[in-house]
Amino acid sequence: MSHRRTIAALLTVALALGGPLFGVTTDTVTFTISAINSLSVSGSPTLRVMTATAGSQPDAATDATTSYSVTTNEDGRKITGAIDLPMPSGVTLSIRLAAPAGGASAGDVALAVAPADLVTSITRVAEVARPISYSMSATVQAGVVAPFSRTVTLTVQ
Amino acid sequence: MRASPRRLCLGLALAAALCARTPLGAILLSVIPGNYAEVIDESDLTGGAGSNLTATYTSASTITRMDVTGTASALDAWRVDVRRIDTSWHASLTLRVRRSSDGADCALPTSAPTGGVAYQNVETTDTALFSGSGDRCGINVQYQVTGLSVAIPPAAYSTTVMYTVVDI
Repeated sequence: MSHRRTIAALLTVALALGGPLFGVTTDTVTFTISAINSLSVSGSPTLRVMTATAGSQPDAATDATTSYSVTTNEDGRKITGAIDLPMPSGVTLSIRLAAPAGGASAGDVALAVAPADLVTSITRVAEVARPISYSMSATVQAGVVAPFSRTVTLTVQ
Repeated sequence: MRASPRRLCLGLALAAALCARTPLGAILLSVIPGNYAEVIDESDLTGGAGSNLTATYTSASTITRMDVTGTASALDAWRVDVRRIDTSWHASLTLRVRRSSDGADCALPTSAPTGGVAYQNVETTDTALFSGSGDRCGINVQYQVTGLSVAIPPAAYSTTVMYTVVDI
């Protein structure tokens, strides 16, 4: 390389190093998003088994007036359902939840004290007023049952 | 050996180029970082179960303060650029920044900075935020983060905001 080229290269480096004056400093922004699993239900339905067709078991009582709302920012969540006390002998209370987008409903599920899966595969969703259907059936062996109540607990987990 | 006139001129030019930018002449940008942070949980749902998260969060207007000093004179113009360097940032989140105060004279009288009063996106490459001249102290900036929703999985999302003052 000639002297002329050497000096020209040095000048280029010098000018590059001596470019705009500057100072640099930093700040940080942090957002921590917690796991969110929120669920609410509406209404307290009443079901009565009162009719039957001769020769058949009593007609099931149904209710579709209630709904649930769910928000989760996690993947693969599910909604389980349970009742606080066993049902009277010969009486069955079933529940069916319509699944939110992407979820899978288990259909009609007989409720028991032990939690049962009602909707699975719920992933990052926020939906309101998803329908709930209840069905209560009784066999003739149940006899006449005095009015009773059960608390149904739905849990998103 | 005697230097030729051409070699002497080039040598002087090189010396001038090197001396023109000394550390003594550097404009300094100092920041008292606000380290804006939010923890998002169930209380941030807009309407309880079934609703989504509040989408936009805004920091305090005085969260971060910066001083520009070391200018040659009240007329020495500069510009503050901003960019972000993601540590673990989510693509759905948009970080915005704005200049929320004019600051004040550090010593000699100067004019208020110009530009940057409206929110602008902080990208991963430098963009001009505001400009001014002379030493200016106590300029505040404010952050805004948009795009939050339940579609973003739980985690800590962090980015480093880098400010650069450029002599112009």
